[in-house]
Amino acid sequence: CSRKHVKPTFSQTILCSNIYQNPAHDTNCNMTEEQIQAHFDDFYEDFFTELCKYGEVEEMHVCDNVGDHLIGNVYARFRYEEDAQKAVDNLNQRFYSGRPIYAELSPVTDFREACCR
Amino acid sequence: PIDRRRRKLNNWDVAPPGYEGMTAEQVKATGHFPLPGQPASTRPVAIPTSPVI
Repeated sequence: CSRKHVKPTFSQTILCSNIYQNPAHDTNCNMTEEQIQAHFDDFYEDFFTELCKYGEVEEMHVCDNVGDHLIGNVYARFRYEEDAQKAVDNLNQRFYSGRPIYAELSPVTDFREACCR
Repeated sequence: PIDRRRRKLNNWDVAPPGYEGMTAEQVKATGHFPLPGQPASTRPVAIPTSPVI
């Protein structure tokens, strides 16, 4: 976010910034609704499944917002804080789809309340 | 178990073309892959294969 948020020292939730590249945001995109949905579903499966290697994942959300600080962001909440920390440390040393991953802990715990005020 | 589930994609650990052999940390330090809203860095960075001044 463009606002100053305090980054938590411990959290169950991680943020991987700008991971999902929605093909619909490409102006030359000529995919159908179904193809775009399938593209997303494949991404979700690929990402979620890999995160499960770090621990039990309770929820995972992908932002469809187009603001710079939200576009393509993936938020995932682990059951245990230790697993979230392990995931962040590890993901920062990995690539996804030809790009380095930017991972950090996120203060979000309840995704329905996840709104800056 | 879920982490053994067969997937349609395999995008994990795919380094950018031309950056193979570098770690993700090194690639981020080049500034060539900024997050949206961050300016692409023009700061010269010593890449392992280039001579260090």
